[in-house]
Amino acid sequence: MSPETVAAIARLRDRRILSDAQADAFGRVARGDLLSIRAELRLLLYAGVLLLTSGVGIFLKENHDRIGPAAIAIAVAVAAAACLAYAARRSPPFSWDAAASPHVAADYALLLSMLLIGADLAYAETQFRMLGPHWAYHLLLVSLIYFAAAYRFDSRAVLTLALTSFAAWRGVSVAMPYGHPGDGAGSSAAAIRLNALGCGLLFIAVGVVLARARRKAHFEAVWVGMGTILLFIGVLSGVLEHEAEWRIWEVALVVLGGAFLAACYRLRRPLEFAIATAALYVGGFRVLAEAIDGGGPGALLLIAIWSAAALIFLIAATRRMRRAG
Amino acid sequence: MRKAWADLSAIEEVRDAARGWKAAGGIDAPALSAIEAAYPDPRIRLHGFWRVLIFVLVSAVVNALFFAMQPGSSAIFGASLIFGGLLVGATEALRGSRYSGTGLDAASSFWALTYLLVAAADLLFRQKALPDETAVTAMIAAIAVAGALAAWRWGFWIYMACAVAAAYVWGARFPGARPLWIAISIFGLWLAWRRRDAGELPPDHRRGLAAMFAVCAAALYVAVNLYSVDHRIVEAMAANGPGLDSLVTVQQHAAGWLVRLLAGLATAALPGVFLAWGIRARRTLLLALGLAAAALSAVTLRYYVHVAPLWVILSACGAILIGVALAIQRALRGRPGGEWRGLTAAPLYEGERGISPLAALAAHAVGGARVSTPEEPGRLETGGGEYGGGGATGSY
Repeated sequence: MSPETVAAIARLRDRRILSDAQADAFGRVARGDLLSIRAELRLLLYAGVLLLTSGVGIFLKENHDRIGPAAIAIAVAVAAAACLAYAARRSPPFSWDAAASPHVAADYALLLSMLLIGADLAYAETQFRMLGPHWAYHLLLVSLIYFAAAYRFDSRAVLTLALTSFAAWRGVSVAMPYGHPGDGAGSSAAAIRLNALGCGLLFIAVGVVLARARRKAHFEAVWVGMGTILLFIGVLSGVLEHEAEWRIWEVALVVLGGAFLAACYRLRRPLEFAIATAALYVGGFRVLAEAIDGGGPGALLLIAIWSAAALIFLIAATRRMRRAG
Repeated sequence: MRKAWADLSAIEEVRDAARGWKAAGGIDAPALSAIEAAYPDPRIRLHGFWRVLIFVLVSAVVNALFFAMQPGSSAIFGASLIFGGLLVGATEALRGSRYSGTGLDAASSFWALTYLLVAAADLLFRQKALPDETAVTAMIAAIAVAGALAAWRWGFWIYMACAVAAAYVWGARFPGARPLWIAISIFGLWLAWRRRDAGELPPDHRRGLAAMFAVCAAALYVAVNLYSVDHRIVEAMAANGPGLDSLVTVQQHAAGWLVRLLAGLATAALPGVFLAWGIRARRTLLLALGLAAAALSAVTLRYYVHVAPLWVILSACGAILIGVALAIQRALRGRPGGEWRGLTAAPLYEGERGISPLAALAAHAVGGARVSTPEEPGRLETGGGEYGGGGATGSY
């Protein structure tokens, strides 16, 4: 119950901001006469999915010698198909607009089916070696299945899994010890970094293009958010890990960060603005570390000044954004 | 808490409710604007990530400045006291400013308490103001008092939770702690319940009471749980108690069969009591406590009774939870108006949200299997393998 909201509803009704019907409906909830337990049902469903997938994981580990890999793979596939069918029956038809299922369990059945499919494909690849030395391509396959499901069932959660699996495929492909004969560890790290940058740019571009084309435009935040994180992680890894060329990466970080800040400020994108600020802040420590030889009070004072500068910048940006908004 | 802060807290409550009405389509944009004009809030509202970032930046500034001063061991008490005092002043100023709720005031209050407690710890332990065991007890009391004062003055519920938890640990330092925990918990639950909707309290203080209620309920569960009785979890905190070893080893102590029987019954019954209370009173906090207690009781049961392999238990529990959720939803939907005793499965004015991406990634990390590399043929790892690269890490 919220006494303030109850009092406010009465006041808003008197001032005709709320109609009688609205005030009655909102008042019941504010007084605690009506309570939605949808969040608790979702919690139960999520815990159920977690426990089931954990149980399946242990089952795969403990029983693959006794029951046989083919039987296990088929059993898990059947379970995944059943969950997918449940989700499909309770989901609205495909649409390029937002079309989430109103059924509380459809999202979770879909998530469970995707997790089971991912586990099953990984298990099958481990047992049967269908892709041989190109085993990492199973991540691409998983990612494509997730993409298809995310778009069909309008699920941002599954889209996140798809993007993560895609990025992981690029990382695993590059990092495979036999993937690039003759490559040293350093070149592998560089290749992973470039893949992170490539994935980041790709995700941002796809997100923007799909939003402009009005193809699941509400997914744009997921595409751009993941892309921004990958992009800055890639550049930051160059700044923090690269001994020889860190200055080039630092310049790249400043340019990219500046461009992001300007664009996000114009477009009122607070999340990406904060990510860019955080990346510039962390990247600045490399310059500080190079400028100061060793620790001591001077270094700590510089850290304090640098952190205070970032803080002042954020607060000033907040005020400006608010004024402009 | 100053009246102006309490008023802002009340305004925030109304504006949050109005945003929920708008998100659920209950009101239109002009109505929301009218409500926001009627309940103006000069404070800046920030995205959660901004608040975390601001908290981290303030923490970096404060701690870098403190350690840059390089207070020697003899000056730690004075330096911490001065820093803590300055940060208390900063928090006072920030709580009344437009930056209240941006992470600035949360960080300054947190570090104010931390530095004041560091000063207390320096006095008690380094300067040996008291014997060791007494100093530990006094330190825990200081944490409880500081947390309670901070919660009362600034309205952060997390400090109330910490204060009540510290008070329980303080109580456990003395003989007869378990019955004391039970008695205090029941009194605390009654007290917090009685004042839960008191209109004269600002929303921040009511949230503090809810935090107190949750900690009291948790303490009651710990005090009566069979595993806790067998492993003497409460007694492990005593000044001259069995110590942390008792958490993993069963002590040959004299918890008689009657005590164990009562503990077993209470372990089974308490989740049901919380759930029934939550349904009757229509309180989500009680429902959440009931669910958490049910999960812990299930784990306790599994510890004592091995009826099936772990994968069967996990899968069965998962299937049961999903089945129960679906059954409740179906039962509620079938009722007139989709309601039963004032409970509904409809989203009302909270705005419908899907599974959060972070929750999906967490679920992905828990289950599944990892493909082994060709160097390790046939190996299968389950329960969350790892992959990385492309700038991303994750598990499946």
